[in-house]
Amino acid sequence: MARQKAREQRRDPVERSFNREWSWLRFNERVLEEAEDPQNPLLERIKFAAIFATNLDEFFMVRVAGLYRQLEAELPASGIDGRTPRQQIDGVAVLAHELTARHEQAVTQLLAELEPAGWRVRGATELPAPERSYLRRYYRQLLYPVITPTIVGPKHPFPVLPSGALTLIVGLNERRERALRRARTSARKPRRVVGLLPLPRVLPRFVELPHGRGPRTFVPTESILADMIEELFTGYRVLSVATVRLTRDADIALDEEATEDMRRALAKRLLGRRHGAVVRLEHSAELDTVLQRWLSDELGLEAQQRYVGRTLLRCGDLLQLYAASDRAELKYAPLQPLQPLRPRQQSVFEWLRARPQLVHHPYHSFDPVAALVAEAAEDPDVLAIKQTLYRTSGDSPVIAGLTRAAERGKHVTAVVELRARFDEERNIEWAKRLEYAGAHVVYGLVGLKTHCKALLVVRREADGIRRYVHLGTGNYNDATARLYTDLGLMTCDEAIGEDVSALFNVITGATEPPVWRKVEMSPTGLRRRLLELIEREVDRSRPAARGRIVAKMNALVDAELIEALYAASRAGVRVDLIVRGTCCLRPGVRGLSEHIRVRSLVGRWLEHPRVLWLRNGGQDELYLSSADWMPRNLDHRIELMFPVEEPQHREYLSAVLELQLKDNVKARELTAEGRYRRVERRGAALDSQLAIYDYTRRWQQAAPAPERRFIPLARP
Amino acid sequence: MLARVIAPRWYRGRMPRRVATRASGLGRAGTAPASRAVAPPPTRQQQPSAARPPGRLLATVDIGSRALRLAIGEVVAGQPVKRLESASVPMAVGIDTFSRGGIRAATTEDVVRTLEEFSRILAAYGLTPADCRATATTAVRDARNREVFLDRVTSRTGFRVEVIEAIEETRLVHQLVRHLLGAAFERGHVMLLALGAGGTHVIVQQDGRLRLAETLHFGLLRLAQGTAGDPITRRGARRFVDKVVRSIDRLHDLHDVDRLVVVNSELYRVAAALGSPRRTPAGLSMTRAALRRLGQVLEQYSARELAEESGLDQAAAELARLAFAELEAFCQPTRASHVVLPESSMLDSLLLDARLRSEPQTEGVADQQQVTEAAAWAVARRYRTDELHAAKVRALALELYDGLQPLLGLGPRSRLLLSVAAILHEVGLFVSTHAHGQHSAYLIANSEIMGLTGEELQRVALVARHHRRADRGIASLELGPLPAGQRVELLKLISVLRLADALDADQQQGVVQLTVQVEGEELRVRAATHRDDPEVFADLLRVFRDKGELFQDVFGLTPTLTEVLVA
Repeated sequence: MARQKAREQRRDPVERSFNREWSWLRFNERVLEEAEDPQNPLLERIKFAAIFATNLDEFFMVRVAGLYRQLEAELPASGIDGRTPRQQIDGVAVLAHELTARHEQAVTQLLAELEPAGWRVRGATELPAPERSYLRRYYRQLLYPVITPTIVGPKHPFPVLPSGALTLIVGLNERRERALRRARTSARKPRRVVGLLPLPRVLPRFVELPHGRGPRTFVPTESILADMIEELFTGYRVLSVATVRLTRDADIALDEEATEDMRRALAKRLLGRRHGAVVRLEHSAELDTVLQRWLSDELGLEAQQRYVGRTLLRCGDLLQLYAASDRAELKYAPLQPLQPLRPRQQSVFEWLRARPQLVHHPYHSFDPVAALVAEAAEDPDVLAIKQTLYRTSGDSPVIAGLTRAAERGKHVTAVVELRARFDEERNIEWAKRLEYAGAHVVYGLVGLKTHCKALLVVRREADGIRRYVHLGTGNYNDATARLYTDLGLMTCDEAIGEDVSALFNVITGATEPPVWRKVEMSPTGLRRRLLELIEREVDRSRPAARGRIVAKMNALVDAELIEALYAASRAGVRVDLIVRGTCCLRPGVRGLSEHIRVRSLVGRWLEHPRVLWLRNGGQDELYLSSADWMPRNLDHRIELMFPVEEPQHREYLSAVLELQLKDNVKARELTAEGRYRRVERRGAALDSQLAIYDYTRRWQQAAPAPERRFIPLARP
Repeated sequence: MLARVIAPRWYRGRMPRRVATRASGLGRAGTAPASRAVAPPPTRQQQPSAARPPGRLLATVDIGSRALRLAIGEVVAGQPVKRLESASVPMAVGIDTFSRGGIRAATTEDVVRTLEEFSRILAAYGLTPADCRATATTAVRDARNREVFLDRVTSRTGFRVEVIEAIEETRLVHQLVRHLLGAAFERGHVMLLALGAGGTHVIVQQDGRLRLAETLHFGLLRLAQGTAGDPITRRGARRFVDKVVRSIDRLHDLHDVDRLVVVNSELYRVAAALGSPRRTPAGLSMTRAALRRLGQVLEQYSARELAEESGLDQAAAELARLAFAELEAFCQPTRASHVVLPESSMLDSLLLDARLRSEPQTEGVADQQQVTEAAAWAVARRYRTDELHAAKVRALALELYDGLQPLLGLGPRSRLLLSVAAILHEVGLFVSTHAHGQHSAYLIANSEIMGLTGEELQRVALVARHHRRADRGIASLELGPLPAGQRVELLKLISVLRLADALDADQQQGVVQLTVQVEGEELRVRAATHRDDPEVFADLLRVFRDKGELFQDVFGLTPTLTEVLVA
């Protein structure tokens, strides 16, 4: 025992855990693998390629930018693995360059594969004359009015190019006449200048040519502009045209990600997003070396921050192609969302009074959740609706329901999280709409993002006040509910109702966190509760009946929880982790984590639920949560964890988790070296997402019909 | 918009300073006017509920020394009040009052803002501030500027705040614990301790009989003043409490106490988190040994650690530590084997009280009267009054009162005052046999009796003061400046008490039954006795005539007495 402990202590942090940033990049690699996987339908692969690109953009804006800030502030080692910012940045650069190159290859391959399917992406100059004249018309009518070419020279400093935008950078040589005019003497030599032409953000990236019966052709906007560049910079001779794109520090990591020391060190560097420091320069291969050097100097970049794109930049725009297609055979066969068993004509309230319901999107339709809000809005006995809104769409049925309820004079409280990353502007807009309708809109607590997903309906019934609650792992967004897998519990359980009422009071500042009856909240008690649960599993583990923990989440970063899991493993508890993204835990190391297995699922739907399943000495317990096991979730966000108590729900959830642990199509296992390997396939292929769809359908059919209950009419 | 971004106190401790300052800056910048402007008008809420009454919903708000609290409960027949909603926001009202003497403007503003937030919670149940019983305790009661504070709160929020007295708090806690613990509370020798931020309430009960009910005018906040988490001054606070406990122990031997019930929400949280208690329906139960272990843990932990473990803020965690010291001090002289910590607060007691008040038909009111009388008995015993005589006088006075009911025209509350006055009329003998009526009066006036307001106690004191025949006619009574109605009420009660006292003048409890009858100008009192002693009767008759003079003045009826011998 003592020896083991000594061995433990000898292990340095680098050995005990994986670097968070590198682990994230490995996750994005798995997304890329889906783009490369010929088993996937073509357009889905294009979509994965686009998601890889947008993921990576966000990673640079937030994480890499954070590392550079730490570097500038000369902070010592910051990561869970004890690596310095410099070590992390260098590691990220190597991996990111490698992945970007692979991504390029994949995109080239995908575009080539699109041709036989009747789709092509072409530069303007590659097209025959009639089509080019169409593009010329397009340029004159639509593009020209919205573009602003600028010259950078001694009198025109380098403009601030917005993060993520594409810009054409043009090497120009002044024509003799112009130079003369400027100098008014013949002695002046024509100057070399640089022209910049930002691509309009209001127009789509790809312009589709009219195609009739022929193949569909998409032309990237930058190539149309490049074709017309001589017209735009009259008085100059064009030497070269290239596309560049900057990724800037989004300055948003501060709230949650930074430690206190970091905050202090970084306090002076709070700048607007548009003016954030540049963390990455991407440019097309055409950029000549003079301009390359000039740009790097101008922006103060290291060589490794420069990425050369040989096909397209900003591949996130490829989603436009995905959306433009009506070719079902190029996409995943659609699976009709199941409608949870609710008798026609029965109100959601009646349905939930009979028994609590577990909804699993996208297998289940989002309708019951929307119906709860919609019915509550119309029901004369409903007194109040309270809801948290993190990311949602303005045209979502949930917002419509809340607006309607407020207009009907019900007490509506909407907790709108404005700091939902990159969604701020959209959120402000519909928050105002809600406010005009008469809802009480609150924006949460300073320093704490409201990340929990809760909906509360207060209804007056014949036997008193009853509260209907929906608690979920994902956002109230009907659109993402079709793309993300998420779990939700709908119930009128009294204790949960009381807890959720209190939760809203906490968020609106009307109370301190109380002693919860069934739920647990961060940042006050969730971390402690998780630690307690893990410790309890250790206590209850016996050689004959070893403890077991199955935890599913998007990211596992928190050092304290990782250590608790190591301790559980050492005590012989079997730990199965299903972590989609970042995982800093190092599994399968003797004497440290030999009983821990980590797998990741990246499939057609984005795995999003957070589930915890504990054997608990034979009395299984299951919890759902909105929180990942990361310091930001546990210490700087309002998150919720709630128990799943119905035996049928527990049975369903454990079966779902078991299916995910048996997946041998989309699952990758994390090795002790930090690589993800596809699971060796023994026996029949099992894609857990499809298997869960089937299971859900069967489970639903097998579920007992709702009991017939005779409920007196409260009113005629 | 920014006005509604709130920096919660419970989180401030965790926030980096820079953010925290910005946060509070935001709060201040967007203070009330802005937030009032965006608040939806309460009248717009809930058309459906306007059409029908809010049913059996009860709402209470309490402006305590340390926090503002709200509870909304629902009455379901035959069940305890179901708590639908509760909220609590820490507030420096007590700190202001205890250290500065008055409530600061900024605190008043915080109170107003929080109450506005509370009215939103009420609105979600179709309730308005007018439907809510709002009370305030020590911190407001003792504030120099209490009237101004109350006026501002009412005019800005619509909450009508009732300032309740310390003994009323004691009564509320007692009532609540009796309800929570039920029969268990009526067994054995129990000490109930309510450790409030503004005051401490001690009740000792033996086999269901109230032995002691005291409010001590120091609460945790006052104890905390100057201690600032410092263990040395904390020990000083402990020494102070020890002294108080010794004085209580002299009043009532605490050694026999075999169980403690302690009401304090901070201590409850800490005990739940760190004390590994047994959870019972009544609350947490801890043995003496567990208590000792908890004490050791509390000594080892810093306030910050304590806060993290219990989920309280640091200030509250510090109060929990003091509450524990207070509990230890009270526990020491007893032989209590365990301590029960119910999960309840002032709010629960207010909710329960609101329920009992709303059900006058039930046993609630009668029960309250019994508690008040029990509290009066506890005072009587403290001054070693002749309990048999007091009980007889009380019984006779009430028989007379009930017999004369149409003539008196007084309500049940006056009956209670008469009963208490009868129990306590001779406590003055403890001081001196000379002018004992006067001594009784000031002892009563300076006691605390659960269920009676300070003003009612003054009236009881006046009734007791004039129970003696030395003060004969109306003119000789010193009742002080009183409204006419009250003056008459007192005169009626005094004259009844005098007759009752006369009927047991020999203090032998000879009279077993009374009948009263008005005939013409006479009030005929027929007393049934066992004894057949004309001499005693002659004495009794003389006293009766003497003491009956006032009755004659007040009612215009001459009381006559006849004795009937019964087997």
